[in-house]
Amino acid sequence: MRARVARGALVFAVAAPLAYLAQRLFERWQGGVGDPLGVVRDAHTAFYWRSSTAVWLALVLAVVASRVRGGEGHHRWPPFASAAGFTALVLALAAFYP
Amino acid sequence: MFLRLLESLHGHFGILAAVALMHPAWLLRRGKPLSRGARWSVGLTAVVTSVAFGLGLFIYEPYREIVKRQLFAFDRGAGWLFETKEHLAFAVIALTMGATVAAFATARQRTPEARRIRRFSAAAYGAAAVLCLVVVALGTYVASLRSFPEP
Repeated sequence: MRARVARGALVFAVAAPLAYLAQRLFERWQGGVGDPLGVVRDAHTAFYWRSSTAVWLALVLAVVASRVRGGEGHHRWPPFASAAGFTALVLALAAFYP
Repeated sequence: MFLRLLESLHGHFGILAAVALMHPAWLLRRGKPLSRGARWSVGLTAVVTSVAFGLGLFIYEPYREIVKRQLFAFDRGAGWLFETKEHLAFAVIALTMGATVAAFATARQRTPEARRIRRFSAAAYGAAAVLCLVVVALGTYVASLRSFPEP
């Protein structure tokens, strides 16, 4: 049970930032290249909504992941190399699509 | 005055969080069960990171109304850097919370899966530490350009 909770938590840790950035990319795709006026006039609800939606989606994925029967053969990714790739991806997306 | 103080506290807690996040990343890297000290380290790191993020959320509304316009008017690039910082800060808190729950859930278990989960927690803390360092650097740069008015 505890391992399942832990697995779900790790899925949440990865999924929430990716869900957040995916929404931001969608906003940029819909709105085009950012206009500073749009950011300045923004009522800031966008950030709250983006964060809330990302958390909700990540929680759903975490619950699903915690219910999947785990095993040694199911996840063979190297932890630190995976984290390095994830960090580079998040940094690149946040930097190029602010 | 009050907002400037909170902004300063937010920055200091951010620096503290960037350093603190490295500790559990190092402690958990081999996947060994958590000692009492390691559990304290994991817990306090989560608290410090949450306080930094919470303070940022708390001052965001007045910041948006008072400072953000001036920042974009002064330097558009710096304004976008602030947006980048906002996105990365969310990633830091999500990684920290996930890694903390995972580390505590498997703190004393000695199974191979628990060991692997702790190593993934260490990796998540490492990623959070790197991203937090970038957040701190961007925040410091942006705050050096425009900030809440002096009292």
